[in-house]
Amino acid sequence: MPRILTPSEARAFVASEAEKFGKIVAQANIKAEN
Amino acid sequence: MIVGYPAGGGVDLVARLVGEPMKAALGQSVIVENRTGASAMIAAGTVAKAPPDGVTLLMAASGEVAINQHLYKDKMSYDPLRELVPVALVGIVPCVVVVAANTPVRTAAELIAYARANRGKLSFSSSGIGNPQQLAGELMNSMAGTNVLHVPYRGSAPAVTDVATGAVTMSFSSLAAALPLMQDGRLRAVAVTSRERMPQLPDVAPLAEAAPELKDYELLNWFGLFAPATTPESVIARLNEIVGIALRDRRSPTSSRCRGSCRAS
Repeated sequence: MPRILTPSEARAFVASEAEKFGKIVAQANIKAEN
Repeated sequence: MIVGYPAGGGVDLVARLVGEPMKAALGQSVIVENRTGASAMIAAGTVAKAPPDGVTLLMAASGEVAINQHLYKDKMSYDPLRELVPVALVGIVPCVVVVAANTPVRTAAELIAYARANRGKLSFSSSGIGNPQQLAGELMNSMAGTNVLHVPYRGSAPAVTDVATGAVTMSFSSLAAALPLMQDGRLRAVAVTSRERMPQLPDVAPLAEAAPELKDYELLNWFGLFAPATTPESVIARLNEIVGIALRDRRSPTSSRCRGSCRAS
């Protein structure tokens, strides 16, 4: 069973994911619903 | 513990499962409060502005802390990366790619070949604009050079139902939403969006194995417990420890229900 991420590891994971998601949103030109 | 989704949904369930062992560990009550609306940004904004004392927490999905800022920048009342801090990641959930049972696709590699051979003719559904399921489909398009059109639905149930009826070609979905139609034989799972196979679907390959261009493909939905960013490190560390105990306890329903195919918890 893998260990739980420490808070600092979780912070790095969330930041990395946010950056990745931002690139996909921009590349696919996804627009929010009004 | 504030949740931006309705009671009974996936994030709410995770919050309640994590909340139970937290009660015992903390020696105090843990109340789950559902503040729905605005793509869960009302709930996240409430916690971002709450006193940083470890009393008010957010059980969030990736949307309100890592996606919405790219879609609703001008409408958000909080900056998720500056005003919220993760206490613990409690679950990571891949998407499943499902097609109708009569679609001539049985594997991830066949899915990509089919999409390449039918450029501009295929579509994929998701439970809404800007959710991880849409991003998973768009990332496939980008990396594989496919052109599968996104069709957003309001919720995952109609999104998978319309694959079974043939209205859309495929869906990027949670396993939970697609499973009843898979068990009925109306849908077939042909790929998963994690790098590893899901324990529940050992015969279904990751998209990363479908083509060389997709070898780095991965798109995951995840859930995490967050606190206001200025919450003392000691409080965050204690809460992280408590959540970790709940997730590691194999006797606990939190363990089996949240862990699933979770890689990080």
